[in-house]
Amino acid sequence: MKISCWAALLMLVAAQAHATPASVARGSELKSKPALDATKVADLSEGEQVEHLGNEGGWSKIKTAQGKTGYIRMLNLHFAASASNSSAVAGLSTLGNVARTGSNTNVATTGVKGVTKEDLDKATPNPEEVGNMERYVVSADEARKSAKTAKLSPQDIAMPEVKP
Amino acid sequence: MKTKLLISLAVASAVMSGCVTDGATDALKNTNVNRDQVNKAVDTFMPDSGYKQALKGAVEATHTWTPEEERQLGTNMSAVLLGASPLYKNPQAERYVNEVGLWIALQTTQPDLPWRFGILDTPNVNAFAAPGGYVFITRGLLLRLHNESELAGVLAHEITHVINHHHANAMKKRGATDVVAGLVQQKSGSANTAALGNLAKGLYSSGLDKSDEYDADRNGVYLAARAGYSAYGLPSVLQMYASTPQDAGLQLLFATHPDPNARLDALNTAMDKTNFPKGVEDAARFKQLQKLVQYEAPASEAPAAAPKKTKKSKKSPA
Repeated sequence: MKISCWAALLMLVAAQAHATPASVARGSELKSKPALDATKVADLSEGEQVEHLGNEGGWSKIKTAQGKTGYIRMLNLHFAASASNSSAVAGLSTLGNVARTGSNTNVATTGVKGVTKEDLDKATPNPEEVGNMERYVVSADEARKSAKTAKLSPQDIAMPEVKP
Repeated sequence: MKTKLLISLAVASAVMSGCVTDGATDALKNTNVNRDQVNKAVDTFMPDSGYKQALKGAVEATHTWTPEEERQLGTNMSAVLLGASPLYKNPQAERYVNEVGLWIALQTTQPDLPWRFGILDTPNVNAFAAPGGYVFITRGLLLRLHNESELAGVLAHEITHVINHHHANAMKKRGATDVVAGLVQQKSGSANTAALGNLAKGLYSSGLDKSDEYDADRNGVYLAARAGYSAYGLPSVLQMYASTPQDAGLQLLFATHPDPNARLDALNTAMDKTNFPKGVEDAARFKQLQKLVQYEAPASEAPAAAPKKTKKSKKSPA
């Protein structure tokens, strides 16, 4: 992987990590730390515009219009798709040019497959490719072993009750 | 025969008089009449109309797929997705997604399904499921994720679609029952394959019922947490969806799912009463994956680039 690719990617990540516009979904407290018992920095009111800086566990780090920084419950935020977001990120999903090195010439789209509605309409079913999935199958033991390297262990958490 | 037809008609009228789906289900459960007979009666005695289609759909919905039929359905539906976009043929990346996916699936009520996970080689952002244990994620979505718990959240959402038979039930309502039965019995293969392909295209293009998506979100966060991940991976992905400009690469995702802010609100309610453990947020293997799925600049623009290594050499330097 070229260093310049990483630089481009890091810039994109940084662009996303900083100053994503968000709004407060319901009245809540801005906390000094990502914890319920942390001290309150400010009261946030519904609809208040803030900047989303990142997530920690179930908490989002935000900055208020008054310049105060702190944490809000992650699910107490709303977002609005904004044109001010990096257009390079937008291009990524269609052209795959995230790792391009500063130049913004379009990658030739010939041969770039998609799963848009139009792509699905035109698609000819490919049963052979379904068969190709067998090449990548892992056993339950392999999955468990790999999970262990990621420090994962099953947790005793009940699934939510099915709504009547 | 006449008696059976009369019973069928009685069932049909019971259905018409009440709530269509529930009425049909209960009525059929309480009789020995099978759906073929009811369908026949409906065909014989009802004029063509929207009511007739609704009634037939309700009757179809009472059919229970066998695991074999559900697998067949999923295989054909997967063939449609893979017809639109092939697999990303990087064995290391594909196996990684299978490791993560299967680990999560092992924490469900159906660990023994033949689970198959695949990366679709497209920069479009989306994930899909098909009945019987098939789950797909696009290369474009993998690139946008920040850590493994986000991947776990996406996969757990799709796994829930499989476990709760969301696509299988939707395909039933679209009339796939006889087509699938035909395929399993290896009757008129090409016609049935084509018919099923069109039904699958329709479903993937228009999406599931919104309630199924909320169900997959709700169960997905709990499932990811059961597998030892932070429960907040999926909410984090939804935040990303909500703040992303809706370009063409995300069009289908947005067209087939509820508004991401509404999904976040629903999770706020669903997760409110549970004190989730911290869980795992990321793993070194995820960072490896993101290198593997990265799009490279064309060779002409990268003269200085060294040949890409997909695996670290096991040999120590001489």
